[in-house]
Amino acid sequence: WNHRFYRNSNQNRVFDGVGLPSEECVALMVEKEHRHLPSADYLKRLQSGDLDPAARQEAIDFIRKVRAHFSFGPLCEYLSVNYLDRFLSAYELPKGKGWTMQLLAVACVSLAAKMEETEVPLLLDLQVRECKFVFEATAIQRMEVLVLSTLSWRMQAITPFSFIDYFLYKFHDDKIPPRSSVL
Amino acid sequence: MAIAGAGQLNLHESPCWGSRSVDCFEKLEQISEGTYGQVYMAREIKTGEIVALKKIRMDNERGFPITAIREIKILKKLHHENVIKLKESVTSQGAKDEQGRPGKCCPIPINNLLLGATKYSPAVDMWSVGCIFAELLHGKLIFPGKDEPEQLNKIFELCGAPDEVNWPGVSKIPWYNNFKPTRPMKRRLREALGNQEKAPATATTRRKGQTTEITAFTASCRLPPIQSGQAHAQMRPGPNPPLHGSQPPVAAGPGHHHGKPRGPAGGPGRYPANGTNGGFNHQNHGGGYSSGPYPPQGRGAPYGSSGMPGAGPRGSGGSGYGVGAPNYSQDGPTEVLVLDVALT
Repeated sequence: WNHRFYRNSNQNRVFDGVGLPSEECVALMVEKEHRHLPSADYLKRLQSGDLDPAARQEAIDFIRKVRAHFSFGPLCEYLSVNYLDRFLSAYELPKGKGWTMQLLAVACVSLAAKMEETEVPLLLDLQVRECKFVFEATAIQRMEVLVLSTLSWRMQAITPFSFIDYFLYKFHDDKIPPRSSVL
Repeated sequence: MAIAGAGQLNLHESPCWGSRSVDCFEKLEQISEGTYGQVYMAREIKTGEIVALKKIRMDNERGFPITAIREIKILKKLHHENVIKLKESVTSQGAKDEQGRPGKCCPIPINNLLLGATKYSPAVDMWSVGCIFAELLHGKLIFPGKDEPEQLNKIFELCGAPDEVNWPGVSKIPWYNNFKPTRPMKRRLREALGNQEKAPATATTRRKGQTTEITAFTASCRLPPIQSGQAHAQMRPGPNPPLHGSQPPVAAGPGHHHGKPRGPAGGPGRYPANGTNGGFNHQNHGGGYSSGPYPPQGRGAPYGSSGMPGAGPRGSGGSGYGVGAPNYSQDGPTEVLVLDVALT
């Protein structure tokens, strides 16, 4: 019972029955989920070294750090990584410029925070300690726009979070489960 | 109104979303302008379709505005004949300024903190919601003040004057004494709006059962009691534990760390007591909440109180980075949201 609970539940859709997706919606969500995934060959490209898995991991570590630092919610982190992967699978970052990945990570977490968080820090503040590179706000801003357009402005990705309520409901014989069981 | 559930956005969007340039549209005339940017009437060159083109203004410190992100997010969820449809987002190439959406929706500047209250809280949001519903019900602005003193007065006339009974703590709020009404005013909300159930059906009241619900909402529309909710910042632990619990409900005067109210900061002395307009920052239309410490969200959200590190990266680097950051009119990115709305 701390504040955290409230915000998390807010992000994950609290179980109040409101906003519970209908069967039809769930079917649609399943159908559309692929729009919010990296391209099919993304994993292969990472494994083959065509894309740099270490750089990706570093970017994700950074996103985690930011999330922890600002107490962002889990969906924010998930979306950040989702944006990162989708972008990497659709856009060729210039090789040998490590900073571009870092810039991308900052832009992704910034966009995700703007989607989901109540309070979003300034772009400069997002670049928490131990950043190898620190970018000017305008650089991040441009990267944000590149991410937005590369992802076709589909920022409200359908994620596992989208289905949680529905499955909890189903597990409870089509009843709203008591809050205690959700906790 | 079809409101999509969690995570189910983008279900009906066209595949070309986001891939086009603003050059696909020809600007015809500017319709409105606000802190968010400008809205133009435009024609899609290929089809001849008339649309509203909203040019989004970038925020120098926060990048792509959170208000635009949220707007897109919400508009994509809403599908209703009375709600503007977000048709497409486009970017402009080269020179950068950005584009946003139409002035069709929101002539409602109500959701600010009153009287120098500094706690942003869910109650403030409820107030805003109540005002919006009341205006939908009423069919026009409910507090059509030219400036803040006048607007406050309209609020008092309708909702009654705030006192310690209906708003505990109000007398300690910084500008209460400057603005408290000189004569007693009774709450006459129900008289003014409550009989709308008999009024001719409007778009919002057409459906049976909805009317009473909205009226109930209206009736609960009151001055935001500052203690009743917690500031957003308190809903989660920040990096530094928030100290609000030990603070008085109202922070007054210079030097406090809560979000600033609209208008000049610095305490009562700087607010003109005579009700002249000079010190206010009243904007009547379209997203004009500009003076808080958190411009994109307006309303003086208590960013400063959130426990975010005031002296952290920003403290150490802020000034340095600020220098030389090009301003957006030269080279901020450009987004264009194009919305199909009947501009008649």
